Amino acid sequence: MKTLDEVLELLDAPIDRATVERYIAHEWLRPMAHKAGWYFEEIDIARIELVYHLAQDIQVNDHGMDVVLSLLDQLYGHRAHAQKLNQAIAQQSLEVQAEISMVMSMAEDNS
Amino acid sequence: MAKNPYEILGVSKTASEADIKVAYRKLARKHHPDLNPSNKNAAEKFKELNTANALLSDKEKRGAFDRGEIDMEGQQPQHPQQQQRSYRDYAEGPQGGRYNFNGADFDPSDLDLEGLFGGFGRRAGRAGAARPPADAHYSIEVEFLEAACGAKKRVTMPDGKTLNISIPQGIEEGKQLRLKGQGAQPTGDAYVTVQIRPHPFFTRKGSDITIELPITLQECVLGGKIQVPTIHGPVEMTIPQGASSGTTLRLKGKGVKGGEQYVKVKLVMPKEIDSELEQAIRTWSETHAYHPRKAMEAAI
Repeated sequence: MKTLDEVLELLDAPIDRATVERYIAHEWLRPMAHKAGWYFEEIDIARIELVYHLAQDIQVNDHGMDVVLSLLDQLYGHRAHAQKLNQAIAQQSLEVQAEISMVMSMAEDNS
Repeated sequence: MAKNPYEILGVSKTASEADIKVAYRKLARKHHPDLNPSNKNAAEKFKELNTANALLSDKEKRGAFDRGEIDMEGQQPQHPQQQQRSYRDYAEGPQGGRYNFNGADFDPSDLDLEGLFGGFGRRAGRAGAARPPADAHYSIEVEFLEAACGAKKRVTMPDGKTLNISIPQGIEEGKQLRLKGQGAQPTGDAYVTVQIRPHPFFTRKGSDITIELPITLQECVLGGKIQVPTIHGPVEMTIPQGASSGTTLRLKGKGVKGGEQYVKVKLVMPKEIDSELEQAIRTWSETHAYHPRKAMEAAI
């Protein structure tokens, strides 16, 4: 957990306090709120860089940012589900795994 | 061989700063690792793009490269958005739930295997949305052997629609098939739930088939080779001498998709017990007492 001051020291210029606060105001970034201010986890810091990069280098504008981040969050959410599912399947007996793979190949045959 | 930043960005040696910027942005959009989470090479490619861009967007470095004083490997980019921290690493890690849509409140009971695997890419964007009315839902009954061995069928539905259905080998009761493009409208799909009609002789559990096979007293006592029906056609099987009613024999690979067929033999006595048989058994019994219920009686 890091404070905003500590985070700003870690980040390369030109990401400054105003930039990070703007990201929070847009809710692109959701650090943990605390009496004394914001607290940032590693993922928040990586996300600041992601948003900065999308805005500067890929020139995603403010409206586009809402869309891009929402899609990215959904994508990672689904990937996390798929991963959990894969792990759950891997823990099943070989018989059940074979059954699942059969159902999957059936769905493919009919699509 | 050292890599050439001009080639990486796809620009000529005389490209202007603006040209380089445009080329870089275009490629960065395409190869950004967070926009390509399934592509393992994207991160590497993106890093290369950043290095090339950092070199060519700095006049001094570009000049030094053009004069052959530095190469791409010797170049340590100081670009602020170098992304030493990859967002993807965190999004797919335990902290991901902070931002991932649904990641934090995943409910396994919401799991829809067919939806997830059958239409993951297509439906992911509108998770939870109702299927469009272009789809149609049907239920059909198929023969036991069609389900066990697979079949292609053309079936006319009560609403007059004709469906071409490919029944996969070994399909289970109650499974739903998706027939792409055969819905109420050409843009929709037909969903067909399959019921399997029971067979008079075969029963099935998963990929194994069981059949009850009536055998004669002679076959019980003497054993012998007899013909047994399987879902793939009749095969010859050896009944061991002294088989009891209920003895189960296995025909390897004669089930569904390499499963087994189990043959449970059932002794069928002749309709009439004539005096010859009766006399023979009486004589035999006098000297051959045996106790099949011994264990059962001891237990009670």
